Amino acid sequence: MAGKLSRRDFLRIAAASSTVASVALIGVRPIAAQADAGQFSLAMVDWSDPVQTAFEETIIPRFMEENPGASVTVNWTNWGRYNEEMTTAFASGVTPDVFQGGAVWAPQMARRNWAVPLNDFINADEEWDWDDFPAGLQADVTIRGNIVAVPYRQDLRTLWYNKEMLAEAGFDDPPTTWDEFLAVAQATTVRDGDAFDVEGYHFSDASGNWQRDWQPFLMWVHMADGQFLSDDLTACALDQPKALEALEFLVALVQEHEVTSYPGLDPQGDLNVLAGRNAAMQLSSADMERVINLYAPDEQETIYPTLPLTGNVQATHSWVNKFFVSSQTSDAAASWGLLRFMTRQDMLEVYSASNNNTPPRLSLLDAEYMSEKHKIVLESAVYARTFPQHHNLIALFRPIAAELEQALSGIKAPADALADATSAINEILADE
Amino acid sequence: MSVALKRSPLTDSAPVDWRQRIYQVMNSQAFVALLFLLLPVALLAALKIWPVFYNLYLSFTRYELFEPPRFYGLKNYSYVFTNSTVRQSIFNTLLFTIEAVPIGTALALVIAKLLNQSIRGRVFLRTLYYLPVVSSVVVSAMIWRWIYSPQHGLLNHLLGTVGIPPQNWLNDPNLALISLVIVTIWGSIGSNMVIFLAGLQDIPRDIIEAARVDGANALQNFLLITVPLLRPVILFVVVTFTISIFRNFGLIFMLTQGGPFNRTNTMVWEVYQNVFGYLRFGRGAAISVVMLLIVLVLTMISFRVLRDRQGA
Repeated sequence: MAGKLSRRDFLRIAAASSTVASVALIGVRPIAAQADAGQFSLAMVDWSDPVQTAFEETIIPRFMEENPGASVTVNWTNWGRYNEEMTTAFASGVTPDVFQGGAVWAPQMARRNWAVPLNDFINADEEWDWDDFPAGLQADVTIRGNIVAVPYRQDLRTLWYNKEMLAEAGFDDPPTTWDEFLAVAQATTVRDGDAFDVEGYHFSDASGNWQRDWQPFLMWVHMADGQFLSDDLTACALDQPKALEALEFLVALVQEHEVTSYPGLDPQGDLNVLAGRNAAMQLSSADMERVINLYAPDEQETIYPTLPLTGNVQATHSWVNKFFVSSQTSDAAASWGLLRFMTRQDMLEVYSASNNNTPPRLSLLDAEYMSEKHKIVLESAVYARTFPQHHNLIALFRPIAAELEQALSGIKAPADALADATSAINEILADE
Repeated sequence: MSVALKRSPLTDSAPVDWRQRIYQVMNSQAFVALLFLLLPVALLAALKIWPVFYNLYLSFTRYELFEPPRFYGLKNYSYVFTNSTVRQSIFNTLLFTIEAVPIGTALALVIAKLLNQSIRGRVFLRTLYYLPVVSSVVVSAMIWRWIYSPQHGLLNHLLGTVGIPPQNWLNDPNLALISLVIVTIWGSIGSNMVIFLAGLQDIPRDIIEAARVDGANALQNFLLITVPLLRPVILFVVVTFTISIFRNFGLIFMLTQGGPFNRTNTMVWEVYQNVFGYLRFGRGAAISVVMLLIVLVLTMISFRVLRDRQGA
């Protein structure tokens, strides 16, 4: 019958259509960030329910209220896959306009030209008080004169301790020096044969994570007044006497004094070892307080922070997390508008309060949500050192992790472990 | 002067109706088939074949994503064979394969054989064994993390009831790889079992019956009749299982991240570290090329050992 489609014709049309469609799809260019149309995309890695609520119920609606016509699409993700997501995003040319980044990201982003330098925006913005950010944090996001990010959070690590356990062991005050620390750790450790019931000091978790050891180790290096890299970033400095002093002290805590187990005790889910009463002392950030409030409220009156210990110097480490404007954004000025909004004082307070984060702005030191404990953590800022500004830190950390395992397990002498780590790191540096 | 053109037989014939010819071609089954094939072939070429060749190209370059690849000669391959961490990853991957494939394949075959009998609850048991296959790797890993937990884990608790001291399953360098092998076998038994079940149901019953009449007991029947007849299926399972172990990333990512002491640092983890950790795409590409070659060699060995001799 005329006009009726035969089966063969139908199949032919279907095949031809799908071929045309696929060719057309292959030809479609990736959608670049479209900040110019007031459509912002934001990648958030600092995910938790309270943070998400703060953004979705307060921060983003306020931004849209103040910028009629604007909308923000947020991609919530987590650290486990964030690096891959951002790498593939940049490779494919589809990045968010504004994105979060971790403590070692600023030099990487600068080296790859993946972040828009913000100097002009900051200098031209009379209302933007850059001096409200401590000088150390400003320095951390400034690479060769270019401000490549704005800090949104600092993870200041200091010593947390269980007051009750220390009192039972005869210590009314927390330790302030390495010698005092050792005495307290020895007095509070409870062992049943080879097994630990309570670690006097919890160094690292047992979880399978290659980053578990070098992070706390770096704090001990800072306390010894040692360095990870030379000032000009061209050589590893871990084979220097001060860094060695730090590792020897740590190895002695494990092997000789037996006040911490290696690998360390396992946290019970979200309940970390100190909050779970399996340790008397631990180096941690203000997140400890969040965990206690949420999962161990009975410990609110027993677990406290104190200022960083003094080895050769009083020091600790700070992880500074940042927001970047993507170099692939179609309108850097508009994206800066979003970043600026999120990191201005009132919004940063909403954000920081949602997850008990330590804020990067000096004007938030007396924010309503800052508890007495949190203020002690913040006092540690003056003793804090940040990561060296090398663009390939992740690759450089791996040899340390491998050698620390050997040293802390007693397989290799600390001096040999650090010499080998130094040699491996220098090899990577030479290959740059 | 006029030149008389020589007429060819072609030009002598009646003029061709090209429109009719095109219509005939378009109306042919072959043309429709080609159109249908075009899309999958294009996808296969774009998503499978092209990446293999691009990966090969990258393996001879230094490429860090933010600059165009530049020729790097054989330096990436030199790195693969001289760097101790990468060499250990090759060793770990081979050890993983040697430990997991024979045990996992044998277990799947035995379970398939048992579940091929007429026993009560057969369907339930088959479903039970298949469950890990449909579970997400992440979920499985989280469950096993709890099972293996040194202080709070189910496994240590069970061992404790018979007086065995707790083990640090994922952090003891002597146990970590074996712990991953156990999880891998647990996760793969279901799919391999289904393949073996299909193979077992293909074996003619009269051969089994004839052997039984000739006096073969159950074990002899299994070893001397069933296993040889299943040779092609075993080959398939061994090859696909080997490949899956080489690609086993999720478990390592979730459970050990290559540690302790790099004992679970496999080739695929090393590729990941180089590509996403350090943006050394060339090195990652070279490691994956070597990985492909090793898989090819292992597959050839499997074919040689397990191929159906009658068919050879």
